[in-house]
Amino acid sequence: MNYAGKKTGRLDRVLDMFASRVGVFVFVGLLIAGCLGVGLYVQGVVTQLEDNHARFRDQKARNGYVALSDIHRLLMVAQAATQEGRVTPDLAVDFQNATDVLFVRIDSLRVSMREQSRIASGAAAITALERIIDVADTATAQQYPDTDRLMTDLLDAAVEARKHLVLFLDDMRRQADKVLDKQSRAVREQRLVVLANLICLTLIGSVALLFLRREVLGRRARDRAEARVAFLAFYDTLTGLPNRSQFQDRLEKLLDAGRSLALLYIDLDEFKLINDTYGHAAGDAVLQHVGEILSRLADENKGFAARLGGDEYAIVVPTDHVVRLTGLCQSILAEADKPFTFEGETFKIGISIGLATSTQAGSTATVSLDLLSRVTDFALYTSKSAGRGRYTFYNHQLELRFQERRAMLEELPGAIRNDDLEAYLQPKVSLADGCIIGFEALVRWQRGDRLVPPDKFILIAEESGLVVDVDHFVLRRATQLIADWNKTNGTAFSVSVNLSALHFTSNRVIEWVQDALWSSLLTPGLLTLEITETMEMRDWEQAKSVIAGLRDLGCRIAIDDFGTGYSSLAYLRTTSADELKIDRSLIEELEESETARLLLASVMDIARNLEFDVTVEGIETDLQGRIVAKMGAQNGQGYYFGKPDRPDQALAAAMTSNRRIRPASAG
Amino acid sequence: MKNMMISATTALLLSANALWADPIVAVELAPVAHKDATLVVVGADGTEIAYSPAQLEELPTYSLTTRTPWRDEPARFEGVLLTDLLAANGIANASAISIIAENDYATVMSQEVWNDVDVLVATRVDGRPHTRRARGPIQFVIDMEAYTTSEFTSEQNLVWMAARIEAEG
Repeated sequence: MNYAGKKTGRLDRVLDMFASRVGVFVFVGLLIAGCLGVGLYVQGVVTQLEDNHARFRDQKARNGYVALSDIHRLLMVAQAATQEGRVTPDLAVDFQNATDVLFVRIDSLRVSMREQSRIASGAAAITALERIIDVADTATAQQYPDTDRLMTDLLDAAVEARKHLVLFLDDMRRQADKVLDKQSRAVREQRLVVLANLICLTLIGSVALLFLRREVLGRRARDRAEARVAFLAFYDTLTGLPNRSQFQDRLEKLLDAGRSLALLYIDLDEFKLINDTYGHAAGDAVLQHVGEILSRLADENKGFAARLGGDEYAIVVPTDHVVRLTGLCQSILAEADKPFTFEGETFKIGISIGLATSTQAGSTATVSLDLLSRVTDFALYTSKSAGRGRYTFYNHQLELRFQERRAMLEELPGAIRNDDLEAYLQPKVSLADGCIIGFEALVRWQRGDRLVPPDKFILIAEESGLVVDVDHFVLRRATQLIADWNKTNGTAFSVSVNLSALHFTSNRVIEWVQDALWSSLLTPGLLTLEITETMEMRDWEQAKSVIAGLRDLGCRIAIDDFGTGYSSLAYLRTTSADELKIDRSLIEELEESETARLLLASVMDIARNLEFDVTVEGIETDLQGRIVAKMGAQNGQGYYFGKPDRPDQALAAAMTSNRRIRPASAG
Repeated sequence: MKNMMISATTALLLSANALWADPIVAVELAPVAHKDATLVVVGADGTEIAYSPAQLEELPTYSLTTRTPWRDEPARFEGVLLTDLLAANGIANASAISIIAENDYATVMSQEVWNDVDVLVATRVDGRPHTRRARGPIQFVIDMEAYTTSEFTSEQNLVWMAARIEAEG
């Protein structure tokens, strides 16, 4: 672990400690204790401030100042009397009132002094003020006998009182200064404590916030990762549609709930061609485009679309209404048929659809996902077989075919094991002299009391991968038959065996051919392996490697079915073959059509130029044989020369046959 | 159940109220010889009415026994309610009144004070005419308990030698 990792680990341990029950209790306790301490301190300061405020609010100082005013008022009345030379009745009232006012002031001052701490200067001031009252009361009691004397006595007492009042007020001011200073100090201390507390709380809050942020970011990252994982688990990343897993879950739930529904399997026609021709980016764009179409149409029908993988999609809609489903299929085909443009390239997307409803597949109570899926798949298979770009509803007829197909699939492995297959032989004739030079081995399946031709089960075998085993069987069987026959009868018949394109994805077929040759002791040059160009053979390099390996064993290679299917001129150029087998479709109108003859002649030219031996298949008449012989074909094959037959019969017939065609030159 | 509890609580509060009798009680005052004093009240229309203590006592009179900040022992104050006096001059709804004393002391009392506590404009103490030396002849008195508990009262409201009342604002 690096330093950062150690640091993170330590931090996590600290966080774990804080997140524990004890950690939280201690941390919160410390916070509360800190806040409580600060609170108590602040409360103390506030109490002190209030106390100081109360001191300021008391009347002591004011009473001192106002007492000076009250003395002045009394002196003014006395002065007026002095000027009058006597105390008039009005002046007597004023003098009495002024005395009373001063008397009350002294009382107030005395009370305030009693409430607060006694100040010596205050007591002296009160005594001095009481002296004034004594003078005034004495004069009043004596009816003011001498105004001058009264004035003099009052002034003397007033001077004394003023002096003590000033001393008292100075004491009060000093006390006020002290209180204010104390107050300011308290506020400063409070500021310090509050500031320190705020800093601590800010630091704690910031750290807590950082930890919180770390946790939140971590949680978000986890949420995102979980969402991503959930998305990847249940959605297709390219199209955003539900993936196979989610599709199966949802469909299963709908079926379990006994809902009537329809399942559509949608497959792109020749998608591999788009990928190979325009690149994977274009292929991805097409897949996304189709995904959008299907998603929209599924939504409109209250269902959902899914991508099952590759170019396979599915739609589930909660209805088994045939008219609505027909409309949905037509909409899909119509939308897909609109030209799609990607980076300047415009291409049409072919789509095949297979559709089955839960009611068609069985009673809704018992239909399983597997059953519905298989019958829908069969409907799709039917669409593809019928020429693509169409939709097929699963129905009773399809049901029978489906059952038949399923039965074949189940029985075929056993048939291979139990030798229920047989390699029938069809003669291959030299057009030069009409002699049978060999045979093409064509598989037949003795299924109970029925003999099943290859076109009924080879496609199934190819789709299931069993064709490899079928070919292996035919290879072993045919080589052994011909080798044995040649050895017994001194003949040198050749044999052609068809190999499925699936063999050309690995080198295993080379070992099989070698084993067949060794075990049968057939001369390698008498074995011709016929291959047909298909989509699966677009991995040219691998296919060429396998073909080269087979040729190295001494076998011959024939390109089968040329002129149909995927056969192309490029194929001829790149494939190391010995023989070209021209498909029957090129000679069907040979006798009537000049164009057909010209086309065949052109193919012959090409074959000749590429130094291929040419075998023409499907010759059914003498004239056809003559024409192709004249065009330069070396060999012929077809019902005219002999149908595929049981090996013993075919071989026996070959030994006794006298059927000959005349060489082209004889024509 | 809830209504029963509310009723019981209300009854309890009423009982407590009866036990805590109002400190201010209406009384009939016999005429006495008051000190010369005048309380001028400026009415809502600006009219000034000068009240002598005897004229003040023409309003409903009340008695209040209480201490004051300057009396250690409770005294029985008698006089009229400030609210009656203000109402008689059409300024009971004033937001505040300014009060001026004979010694030139001036203060302002807000309406919250006389709405919150009873303010007695006392003209007599312990049955005798109020004197200046006892903070008369006209003194504003508030029951000490109400004075200390009310959030609106202050010592400034306890005006003595009151000489003039005028509506503020």
